[in-house]
Amino acid sequence: MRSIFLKIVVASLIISVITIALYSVIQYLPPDFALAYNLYVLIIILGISMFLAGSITDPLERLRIGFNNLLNGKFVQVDINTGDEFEDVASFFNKVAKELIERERVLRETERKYRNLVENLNDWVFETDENLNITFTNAKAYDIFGDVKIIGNNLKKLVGDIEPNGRAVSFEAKVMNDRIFEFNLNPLYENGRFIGYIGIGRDITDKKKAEERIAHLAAITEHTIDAIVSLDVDGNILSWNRGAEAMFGYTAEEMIGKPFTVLIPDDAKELCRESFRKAAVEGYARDTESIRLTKDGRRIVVDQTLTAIYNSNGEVTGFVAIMRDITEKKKSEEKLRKAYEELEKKTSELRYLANIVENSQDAIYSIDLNGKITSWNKGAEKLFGWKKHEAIGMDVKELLPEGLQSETDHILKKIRSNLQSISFDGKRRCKDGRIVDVEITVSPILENGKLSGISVIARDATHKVKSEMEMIRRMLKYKVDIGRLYLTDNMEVALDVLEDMTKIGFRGTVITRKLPDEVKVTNCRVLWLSERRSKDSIPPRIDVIEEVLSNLPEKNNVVILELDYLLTKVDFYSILSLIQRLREDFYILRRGILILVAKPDLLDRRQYSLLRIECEPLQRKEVKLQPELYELLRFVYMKNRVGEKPSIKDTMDELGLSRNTVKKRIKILRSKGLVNLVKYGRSKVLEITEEGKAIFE
Amino acid sequence: MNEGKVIIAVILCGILAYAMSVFYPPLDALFLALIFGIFASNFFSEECKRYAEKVLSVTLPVGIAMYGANIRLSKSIPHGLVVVAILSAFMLWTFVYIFSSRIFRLNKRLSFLLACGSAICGASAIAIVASLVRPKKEEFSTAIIVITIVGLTGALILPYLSHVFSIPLKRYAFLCGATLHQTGLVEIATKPFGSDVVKNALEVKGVRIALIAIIAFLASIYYSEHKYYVPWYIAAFLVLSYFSSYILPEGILNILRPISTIAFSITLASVGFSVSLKDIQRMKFDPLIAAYAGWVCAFTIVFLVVML
Repeated sequence: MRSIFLKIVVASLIISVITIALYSVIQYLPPDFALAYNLYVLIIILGISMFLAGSITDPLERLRIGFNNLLNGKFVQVDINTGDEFEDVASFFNKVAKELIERERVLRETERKYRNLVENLNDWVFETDENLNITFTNAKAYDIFGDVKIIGNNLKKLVGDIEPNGRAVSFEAKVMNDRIFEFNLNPLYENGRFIGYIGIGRDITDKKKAEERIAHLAAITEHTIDAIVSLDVDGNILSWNRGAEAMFGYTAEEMIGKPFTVLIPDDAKELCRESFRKAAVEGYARDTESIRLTKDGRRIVVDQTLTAIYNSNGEVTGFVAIMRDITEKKKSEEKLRKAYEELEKKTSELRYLANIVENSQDAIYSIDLNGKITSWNKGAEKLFGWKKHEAIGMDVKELLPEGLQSETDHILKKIRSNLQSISFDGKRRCKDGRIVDVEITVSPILENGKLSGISVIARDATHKVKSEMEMIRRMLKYKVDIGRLYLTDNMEVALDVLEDMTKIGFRGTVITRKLPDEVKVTNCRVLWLSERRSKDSIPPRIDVIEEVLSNLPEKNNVVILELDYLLTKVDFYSILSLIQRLREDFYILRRGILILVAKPDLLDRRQYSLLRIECEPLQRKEVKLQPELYELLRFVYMKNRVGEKPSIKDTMDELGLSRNTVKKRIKILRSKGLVNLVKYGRSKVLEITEEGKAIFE
Repeated sequence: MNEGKVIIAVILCGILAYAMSVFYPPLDALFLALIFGIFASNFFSEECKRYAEKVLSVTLPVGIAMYGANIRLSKSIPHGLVVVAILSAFMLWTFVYIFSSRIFRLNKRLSFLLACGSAICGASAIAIVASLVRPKKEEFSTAIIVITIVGLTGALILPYLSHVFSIPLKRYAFLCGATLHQTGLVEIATKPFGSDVVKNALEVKGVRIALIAIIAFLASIYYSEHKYYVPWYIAAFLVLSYFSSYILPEGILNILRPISTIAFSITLASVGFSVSLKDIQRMKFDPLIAAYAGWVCAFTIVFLVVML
């Protein structure tokens, strides 16, 4: 039945019907049955009342038990299936009770969690009264303060001087063991009255240190010369340090939020994308040579490390690109590489040259400044006879024959003075004592711009020198030897010798007081001794004259030095000293001949004797032919000797003669059987005969 | 020691109830035994109450078996009346069961007990069927009390209706025999109208009582733990029912019937001993209303049929 009211109505109806029935039955039935029927009615009413009461009291009892359980914190479902209001009440009770129990459970759970949280919190949680006496603390306090009594202790004693003012307080304080704590105190009020604080003390020592470290790292990041750029997953720039500003020229304001690709030239974008892919997959990507664009459009080379940044779930949240400008380094490397290649090339060349030197037919050796041999090639072994191991360390004077012992010192002196190579014809003594003529080229060996030794190339020229000397001796009109000094008082003779020698290839130099017009020589250099400075003048000073003569070509020189004027300007012994030095120079280096011209009346006898000691007299050769014929014959001989046959015109040009003169002289020479005039093509050429050759051989 | 006291108390309750019913037949011995048992249990501890079940295990089968002596099919009753009586019982069973189980959603065991009690022979039928259905003690007790109350109501209403509608005596006798729950109530309701009416009514009631054999047989099969198992006391009851109807002399039956009633009374006393009024109250108002409603519906139909 859906309602208690209905149940009561039904019960009342039954009882009413029964009562009416009882009344009627008692009226019409015999009185013997009245007691029985009354008893029936009593039982019926009692029964109905019992069940009706049961349908009311039982749900109430169940609800009472339910409430009782609820009060005891238990939830037991109240099952009432009366189908009436009690069932609705029970259903509502169950819902409410369930909700309350659930809330209580949540409350208990929350309380448990918070209690655990507070107790296990790594921070010190405490509560104080209004005088800052601690009334509650969690277990953390015992970690901080050890055996110090906490409950009842005053907060001031533990953390320092603070004043309870009823407002929230935050401060930092050093507590036990100099640990730094951050305290946050929140006031507690009860009925508007300040009753104390609830506070949290957090150990921020490590945090402080971490902040310092982070600040330090941030300062390093900010001030490093490397560009450090952080990016989001889309490659947009999130941070831009000063190194990046200096490297690329963009400020942080300009670049933050811009895509990283702004820095990348079009031809490097694919490489950059590949780096990002690799960093996302492998965690980092190193690109040792990346091209980047600066604000002013320059292309710079950077060494880039791209590192992925992960969150706690292991997902990539961004990237950090660290770039170092290696443009200058790359340039230096390029230079170094080129220099290395150059060095390799030169080394190769040197090796090649060394090979050439080693295997050269010429004797090549070097000596140090003390005159000791430091290198010795096979050519030297072959030419001089000393093996390499014998020659190395040997005094170079061992190679010099008698009379040339001062050559090395002289050469070193000259090399030191101008650090230039010197070539000359010299002589060397072999291991077996033989003297060989050699063509020598001496070059300075420099180390760091300073002379450390000399190298010597010596070529065997025995036959050549001998033949040349012999040829010179034969062809000249005077008896002269290369490397000698000659003295004469006749300038004309000296000039004749000079002109004679210049015709066979010698270079002539005349130092005289005479004017150039007065010195009638061709193809010669004439220096006028004068204090006046002009193009071809030379002051009458020893040092200047010596310098001029020292700077002459190495060999085949013929020099005339007129002493008359010089003797008036410079004292004799200075001149004598110069002559001695020149004598040595000409002799050692076989530079040619030097003819001194001095009139004896300008010198006393001793002085003249001293000059005669240093010099030799000029002597004319005895030739049967007249000099002009000898000269023409010599010209033909010299030409024929080198395979040329001069024509009449060649002879005219060479000797400065007219055709007729040349023809006349040729006619005489032909008549003597010394030359032939032979036809060569359309012209006629001269050819010396065997008899003509005999004059020179 | 307590066990003996409990057993004696239960037996005394049963015997006292039987004695009272003999002295004053309108009061059903089983109903009284149940009420006595409930009251007597208040003098014993909760622990002692379980000893009463030992008595139950002996008296219930004996009572059932002996109850067969109450079944006595009259040879003079017309077959048409037998059919109508059976139909009346069927309607009573059906209406009460439908009201109980479907409308008031009582559990099937209680519904079955109420239906059998209404359709057959009140508390006796409930006691027999309960041995097969195995209801809870409070369901058993509730069924007994509810059927007694409804039966008493019927016994009070029927004479009133007879007076109001001037029902002919034969029809009244049939109406009482076909609709009232217990044999004692049939006697009470018909006794003021003469011995013939009582006799006719009891004949009709006898048909309904005979149906207990069928119900017991079917229930034993339906509710048995093993397939087609029929307990010995049901078999004995069926055999005795047959013998009492057709073979045994009246003298022997007169001996067996009190034994059966005493055994049932002790059984109900022990049931009452193990339950409290609160347990019965906990069954609430619905079983009573359902039993009333089912009985009123069936009675109305039978009444209309009889009157027509």
